Formats: sequence, structure tokens, C-alpha cells
Amino acid sequence: MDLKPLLVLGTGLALATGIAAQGADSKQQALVDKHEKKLASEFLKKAAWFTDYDKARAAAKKSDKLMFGYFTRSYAP
Amino acid sequence: MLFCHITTRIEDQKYSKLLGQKGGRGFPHIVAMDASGNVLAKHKGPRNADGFKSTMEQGAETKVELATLKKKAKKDKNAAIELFEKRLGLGHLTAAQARKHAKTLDIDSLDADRAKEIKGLLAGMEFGEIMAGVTRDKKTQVAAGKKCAAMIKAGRIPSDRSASMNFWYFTSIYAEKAKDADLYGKAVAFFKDAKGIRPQFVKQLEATLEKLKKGGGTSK
Repeated sequence: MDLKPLLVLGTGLALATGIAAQGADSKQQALVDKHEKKLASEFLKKAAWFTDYDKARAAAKKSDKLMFGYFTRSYAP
Repeated sequence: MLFCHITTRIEDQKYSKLLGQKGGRGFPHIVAMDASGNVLAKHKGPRNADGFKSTMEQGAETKVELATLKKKAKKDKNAAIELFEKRLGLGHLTAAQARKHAKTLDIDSLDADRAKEIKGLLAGMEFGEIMAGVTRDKKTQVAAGKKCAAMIKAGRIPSDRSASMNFWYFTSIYAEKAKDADLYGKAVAFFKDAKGIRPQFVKQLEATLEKLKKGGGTSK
């Protein structure tokens, strides 16, 4: 039995899966980078913003204050 | 307390659905919330310091109003219903919670207009849960439309304008796919009556309806 075609196919599949996985990883990394960039926005530095929902609620409870909630996104303007 | 939530498309992001849970459908979405995260007011005015201040003041008033109604509601059915309506409008309840509350409050015993309004809000919430599963994939839109068709059959139709637009749009998508001229006709009737709809869009819908009536299907 000639195993060469199977070996070639197997290698090709492994390469394709590896490339697809790498592609998915790099997309995720790009999204992580965008998120980091958004977290470094000027407006977030100018006042005491919470970006963690749990921490914001805990602080609001402790100080008996309302929350000003601003919802934005990192993946598009 | 300033809180900024950044929605991302990163897998397994914590609170990835928070925007939708706080009634947001687009960006930016600005709300006043209590310390438990319940929305007290949605920002609608100008996006400046005065506008935001006004929203927060409205939120503070709503907080007091809700606390007062909660106390009264223990003994007064009207207060209980008013509290329910306010919480419904602010998105404090899931559709399942709202339906459960509505049963205990016996909404059907109210005057017809008020009962209709509340049922319309409940239908809007139910549709909101259907919408959460819709993507650009046409199959999800058809599936959503099928659920809308079931709601129409059961007499559960959203009253909120924004919900209604999407509700009837997805209904029309499903009706066209299912070649259901009657259902499609209902969607057309809605858009013909609705304000702010482009006449060309209505003409398109009417043309599709004619094709469905003739049994020829459509070009899609």
C-alpha cells in the first residue's frame, strides 16, 4: 500500500488546521490589542472611571451613590 | 460613580452581554444605574455635562419613586401594578420574571387599554430575547421570524416602536420564506401604517406580497 498520498494529505490537513488555529489566535490577539488601546483612552485617565462591573457596583454600594454607566466598544469606532 | 463598560469580541470576555442586559442596542449607550446595576434612567438628550447631569438626576428621582412604590405595593394593588410597569419599562425583569409577575397581578382584570399596554411591553421583552439570537446569518433571521409568527398567532405583539419595527421585519422575512401571503400581508399593513418608513420600502414589500399572492414566490 502506498502510504505517501496519505502522509501528504495528513501533513496538509495538519498544516491547514495549524494555520487556521494561528489565524484565529492572531484575530483574538488583534481584539485584545484593541481592547487594551481602548482602556488607555484619554477620557478614562481624566476621571476615576471603573472598568470592572463588580468593582463599580461594590464601590457604589459602599458610597451609596448611583453609577453613571457609559457603554462603548473596542472593536469599531 | 463612573463606570465604563467596553464591549469586545474577545472570547470568554466577562460580562460580554452587559450592554444588552442594560437595554443597549447600539453605541454609545448611557444610563444611570443603582448600586445593584438596575437601570434607573436612559440618557436621551445632548451628550454633554448638563445632559448627563439631568439623566443622573432623573435616575435619583426614579430610585426614590421605586422605593416608595415598593413600600406601598405590599398593601396596594395599584401601586404594585405601577411598580411592575416601571420595572418593566426600565428592563429590571427578564421576560420569564415579567410573565410570572403579570400572572400574580392579574393584568387581565385591569381596564382594556392598560392591560393592552402591559401585554405589549411583555411581548416586547419576549421579542427582545428572540432578537438576542439573531445574527447576519439569514437562517437566524428566518428562525426569529418563525417565533414572531407564533407570537402573532397567540396575540402577543410588541407595542414599543423600536421592537415593533424589528418584530414585523423578521416576520416578513419568515413569511416570504414560508410563502405565507397572509402573514406577509400583516407585516405590510404594519409598515404601511407606521410613521417614518420610506415609501420605496413599502412599495418593495407590496410588490413581494403580490408575488406571494399569485403563488409565484419571490426573486430572493
